Amino acid sequence: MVGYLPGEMPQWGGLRGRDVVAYVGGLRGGVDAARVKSLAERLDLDLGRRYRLYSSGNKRKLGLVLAFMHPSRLLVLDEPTNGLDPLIQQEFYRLVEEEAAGGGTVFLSSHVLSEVERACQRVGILRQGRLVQVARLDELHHLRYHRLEADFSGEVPVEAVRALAGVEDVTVEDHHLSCAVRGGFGPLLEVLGRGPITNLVTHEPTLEEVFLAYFRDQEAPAVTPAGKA
Amino acid sequence: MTAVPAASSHTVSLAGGRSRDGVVTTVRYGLRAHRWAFAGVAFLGFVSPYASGASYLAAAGTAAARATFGRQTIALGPQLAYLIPLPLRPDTVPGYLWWKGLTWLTLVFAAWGLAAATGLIRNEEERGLLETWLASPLGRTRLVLARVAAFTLAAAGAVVFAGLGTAAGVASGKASVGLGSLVEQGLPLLGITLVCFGVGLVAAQLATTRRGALGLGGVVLLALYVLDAVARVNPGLDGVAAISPFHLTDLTTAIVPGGQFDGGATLALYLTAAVLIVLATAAFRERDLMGGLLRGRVTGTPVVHSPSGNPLLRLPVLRNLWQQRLGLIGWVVGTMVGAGLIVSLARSTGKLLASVSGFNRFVQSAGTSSAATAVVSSVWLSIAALIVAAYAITQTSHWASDDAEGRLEMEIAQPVPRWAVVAERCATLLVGALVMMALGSLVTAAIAPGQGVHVDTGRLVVAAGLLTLLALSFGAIGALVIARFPRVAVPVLGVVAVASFYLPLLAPLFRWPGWSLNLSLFHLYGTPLTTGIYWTGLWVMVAIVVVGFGGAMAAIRVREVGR
Repeated sequence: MVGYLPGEMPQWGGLRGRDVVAYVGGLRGGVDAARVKSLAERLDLDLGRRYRLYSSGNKRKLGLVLAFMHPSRLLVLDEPTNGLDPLIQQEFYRLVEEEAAGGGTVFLSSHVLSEVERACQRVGILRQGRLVQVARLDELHHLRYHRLEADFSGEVPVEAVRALAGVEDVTVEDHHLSCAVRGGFGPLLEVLGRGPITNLVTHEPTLEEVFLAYFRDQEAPAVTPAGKA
Repeated sequence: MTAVPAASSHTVSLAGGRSRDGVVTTVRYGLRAHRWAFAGVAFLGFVSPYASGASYLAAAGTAAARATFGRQTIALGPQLAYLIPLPLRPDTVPGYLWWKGLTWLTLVFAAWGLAAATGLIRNEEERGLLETWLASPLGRTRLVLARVAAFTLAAAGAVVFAGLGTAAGVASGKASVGLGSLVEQGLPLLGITLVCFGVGLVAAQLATTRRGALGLGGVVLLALYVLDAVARVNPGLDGVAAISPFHLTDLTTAIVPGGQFDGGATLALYLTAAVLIVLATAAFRERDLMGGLLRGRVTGTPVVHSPSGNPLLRLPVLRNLWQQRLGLIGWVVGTMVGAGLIVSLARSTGKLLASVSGFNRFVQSAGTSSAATAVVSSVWLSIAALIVAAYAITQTSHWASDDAEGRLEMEIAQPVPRWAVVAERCATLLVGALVMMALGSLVTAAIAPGQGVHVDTGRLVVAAGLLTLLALSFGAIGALVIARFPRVAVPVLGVVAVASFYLPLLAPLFRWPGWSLNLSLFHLYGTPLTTGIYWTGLWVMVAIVVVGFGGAMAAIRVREVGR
């Protein structure tokens, strides 16, 4: 069974929320009233109001109730948190975690990368309608580059750094060096260690930066089989 | 200091230019929104008077026949006064055309005005478009005025087509009418269309939904129409009837020989339209978006977290009928009232028709010696055929909006098999049409004996069944088109209905081959009450239903669903 939340909610006109639930539930032969009640309470949704009077956030909540109200092995959620306030978003993440913990698969499409980091275990990146990357979230973190910042009290070994494989986007301002590193840090640290280094900071880019890096790259790789990513 | 006025002047000019651009764009958008309705109304506007004029010669070819036809039609007029004005000079082509062609065309234009106004404002509001328009520098007043301008242009264009159809109809009856008379006759037609647009516009500010506005405006116009009709048979009510735009329109008979152009009445129509538009604009400025001026008292209601316990929402077919219950009740009541009204008048109307030589052909074509039964067969059941066709078209419109508004996507995601969606639509249409026709037939069977009209019960049941099949035929064509091209399904079905209506009228006039009549769905239905089942028609309709819905089930499986 599949639970589905469309990107744009259907128009249900003058039907009340409870009627929409009964109608969509009826398409599968019925709905568990207790489950609906629990979902509506958790999402703080009044099912007694007419659909056309719902705010966009309430319409989204109703969509979530419709998606989660049946036991599903697969949930397909398109932009699920659009219009939801932060508290309800947290409740949504808990619902996703419960589904995943129960053995279900949640397929979540989102442009909000923090949401993807928060809710997903595996990530697929679409570019121009093609799947350009599929990986577990931690694998994607592993694949991605790190930014490194270093301060020197004397001359910066910039040429030696630029000559290293896997080191990109090298900039130097006064005695401050900044670069991106793909792969291991060993060769870079060896070169940096030759200079009078006073400070060294590295930080992981966010998923958003990884995502942007993919889009900057005009020669993005073709589909990477999920199993190998 | 010198820079300030320059900058200020530049800013004002720019704002004015933008505003003008916005108005022009909005007018163009409005014209685009009206294009399909315009095409339909303009087509009817041309064909209706043309067909009336062209058929006149068949009814009364010689001067003597025209004189007799005129006298008999004058005698018939009061029987139909509740529906259309009393005839004027029906012994002439323009007189007959005014009476038979233009008076009901007024209703078409009136309905268009109402539907256009409620649709433009409320429909756009429900779809969230109005917020976008208002977010532009345009503003509410200019928006309404631009909408009015667009509709006025479209309506004027349709009136021109009606004028052309009138001229062509008169010419086909070997008579003539002056350009001035045509213009004078067209002015009140445009006027009443704008009045109805104004009524719809005001209703759209009062109600909160498009349907509500359409219902409210429809009730108001129906009351004004009934007032005019009652005044026709009760001359003492003439003074009161002056508030009815239908009455004011009837007062102009410019194309009728010896007729008149009532400038005062026509001016009153335009002033009424202007007042209504001003009122609607003022109301629009005052109300909230998605709200109406008519608001019920807001009361605290308990929060509900449980699904509806209504079992009908869980059952196939019934869940659709439940959602459409108010509309379906309207269709059923309308069908029953129509049946009751016409059957109760069948005896007296039939008696009169039998005595009018020009209408003898009508009685003969019904295939019965009883004129009253002929009225039930050829008038009531023909109207019932139009009713089920209109019902099928509204169902098709509903199916198309299921697709456009995302409900179909939601259904097939549950997952409901796509073929099952089509099958359920077919069954819903079947049940809805069957209920309408069954109750309409029940009223017919109940009233007819009391009026001394013989109606064979078995044949009445068959007629009702065939009307249901007719509804399914329209629905099958709609379903087939929707399966591939949902956006154009309703216009296509409208063309099929109009062509089916006019084909039996035009084919004899132009001596088209007999088989061409079978292209008309209404002809395929036949006259089962008096002549029995038209078997060719029955099998063709069955084939249409099978191919239409079967094809729709196959086609919907392979197409992309979504907006």
